[in-house]
Amino acid sequence: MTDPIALSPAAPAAPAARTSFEAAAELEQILGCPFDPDNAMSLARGVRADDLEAEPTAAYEAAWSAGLHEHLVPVSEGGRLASFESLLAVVRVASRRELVVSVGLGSTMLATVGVWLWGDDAQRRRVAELVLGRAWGTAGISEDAAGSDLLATATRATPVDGGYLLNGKKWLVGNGRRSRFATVLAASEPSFGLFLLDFDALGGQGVERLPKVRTHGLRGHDLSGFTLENARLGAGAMIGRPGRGIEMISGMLQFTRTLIGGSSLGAADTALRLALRHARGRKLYGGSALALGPVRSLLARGFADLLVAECTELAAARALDVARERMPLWSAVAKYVVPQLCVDAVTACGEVLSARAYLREGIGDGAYQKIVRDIAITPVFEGTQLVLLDTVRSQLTSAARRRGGPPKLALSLLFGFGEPVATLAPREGRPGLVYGGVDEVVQLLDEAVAALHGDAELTALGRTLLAVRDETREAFRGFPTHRTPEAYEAARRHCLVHAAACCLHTWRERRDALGGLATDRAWLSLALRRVVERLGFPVTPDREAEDRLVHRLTELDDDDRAFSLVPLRLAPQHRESRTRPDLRSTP
Amino acid sequence: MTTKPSDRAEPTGAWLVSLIAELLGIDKEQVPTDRPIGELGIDSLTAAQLSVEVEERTGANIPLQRFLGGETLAELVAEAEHAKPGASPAAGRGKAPGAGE
Repeated sequence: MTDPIALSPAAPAAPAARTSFEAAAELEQILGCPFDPDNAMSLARGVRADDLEAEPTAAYEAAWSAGLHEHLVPVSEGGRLASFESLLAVVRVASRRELVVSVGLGSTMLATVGVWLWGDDAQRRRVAELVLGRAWGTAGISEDAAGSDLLATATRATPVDGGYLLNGKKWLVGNGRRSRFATVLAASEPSFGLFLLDFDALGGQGVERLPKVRTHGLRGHDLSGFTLENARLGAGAMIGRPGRGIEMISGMLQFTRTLIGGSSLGAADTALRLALRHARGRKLYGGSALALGPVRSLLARGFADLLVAECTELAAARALDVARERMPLWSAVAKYVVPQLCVDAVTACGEVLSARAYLREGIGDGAYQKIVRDIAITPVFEGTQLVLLDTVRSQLTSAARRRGGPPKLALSLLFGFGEPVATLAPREGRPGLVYGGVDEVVQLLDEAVAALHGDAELTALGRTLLAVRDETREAFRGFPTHRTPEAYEAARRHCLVHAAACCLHTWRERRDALGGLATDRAWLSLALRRVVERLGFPVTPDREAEDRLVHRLTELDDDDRAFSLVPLRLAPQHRESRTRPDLRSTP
Repeated sequence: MTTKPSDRAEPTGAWLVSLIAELLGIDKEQVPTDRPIGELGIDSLTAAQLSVEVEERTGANIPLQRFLGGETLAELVAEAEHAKPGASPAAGRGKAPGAGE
């Protein structure tokens, strides 16, 4: 593994092994190619488990053997979570194979984050021991009548002599049936609190697990719940300070909301790979489908959406490492932008696959239809699109009333993708409630646009973004504190400007170090166009850039690289035999 | 939070009114002390900031939902003032979220 990411010829290969992506590169090789049906974490096995609504047990075993779960435990607690950028890369590796695995581990992560942040020594030690021992965790937050409205939480923790009695029903929670421990939000004194529940210690007393809920996608995932009836917890069960449960949940979500984008990116990579290979192999009108302009355009635009998502996501994950104080805003922006862009990319792949997209067999052993159903949850869970727009709206409304300040964070650090950083142990950088009114990504957009001088076309797109940013900023000065459609639309536009700004900062700060695709103007041209279109402006297509991006895609696929500006070296790709029935020229 | 250490000698009522006015972007005179605080249209994010700040400064835990409800500011201030003597905001396991890094 001396070359986990592709570096430009100008950059020496040696430092690559020490990038934040080293762990992910290693996992890639251990887990093997998902297109190989014999592999434990293969697409074929995933589809079979999905058909049976069964847990993908072989995939879980493979993930545990490869040490995936160790990346959920901070180094400071004995695990391998060295940085959130590194964890993001690991999540992408797992998710290009099987979202059921990454979502299951993600649910465990949500159950652990509060413990890493506010737990005492005994709580952190116990949870680290459980997770490193392959136990699932569940975050008991959601209830039937209390989804996004946490203040409606009805589960109650009544203080009794030497501990608490918990009563209530948690429902639509990940790992609800199989979890060994839970972090439970409950009304208590003086207000909502967070409680660590060790199911083994309860010995089944006062706990009933609820049936797995039948879902559209993620059919192998344990989405279920549990009821607590006079479940008795000891005095040491409360996490953090009394009465701060709601605030703690909002802090925990800053971490998980950011990392979810990694699942979407991983799934979109596989969808794009399926579509690209199909287009290359498919003969239409006497030539390859890939020779058709409209097919190339779909693939290029899907890839561009993925790259916009990637720039946004990488910056957000690094911000957890180097700018945690910005995350009350940036985690919500990333969660709003990244999963949806990836869903859009997957949809474009479906158009390329056409009728094949509808089949539960054939290309990639029928994996595409599963990806469509699985990825559909990523814009929904851990905060729906509306919930996130509301978070962005309230953050920006609050900031607009107060003095901001000059940028403090160096963009070279935030966008130094792959450069190892000394991340804070979770408890050394506890999340805040508000981002503080300084947003370097969007405030420094002017400089990034100015740096495009000499490129009139891209500068014009950049100026449009600046105008939208200024309009949005102005709009937030006039919004009331309550929820209005206008404020939500302004929040949406802010998120898109943020995403485009991430692309421009990546171009300016990191393209030379990354080399390859990152230095090709074509990706930036299409990325900016994709965002400006979504802002409602007419955009002239850049067909030359589309062709170049498709060419890049084929190169990356042939070279066993991730579809990415940071093209991780993938496990050697298993390629289906051209004589298989699904590749014959059939209608 | 933007309140300065030098403000700490201020009576709770005065700094809380200033803080609410600042967070809502209104004048201090527009913050009523004798009407339900819910009438101000405080959102849950602002309420959480107020709750954390009151605890940091006085040791009184006034949950965020009470800044959204039917109590008057005068009633909340009285409770915070009551908790003040001997309160030790630094005690307990870990700082409150939002208390800064």
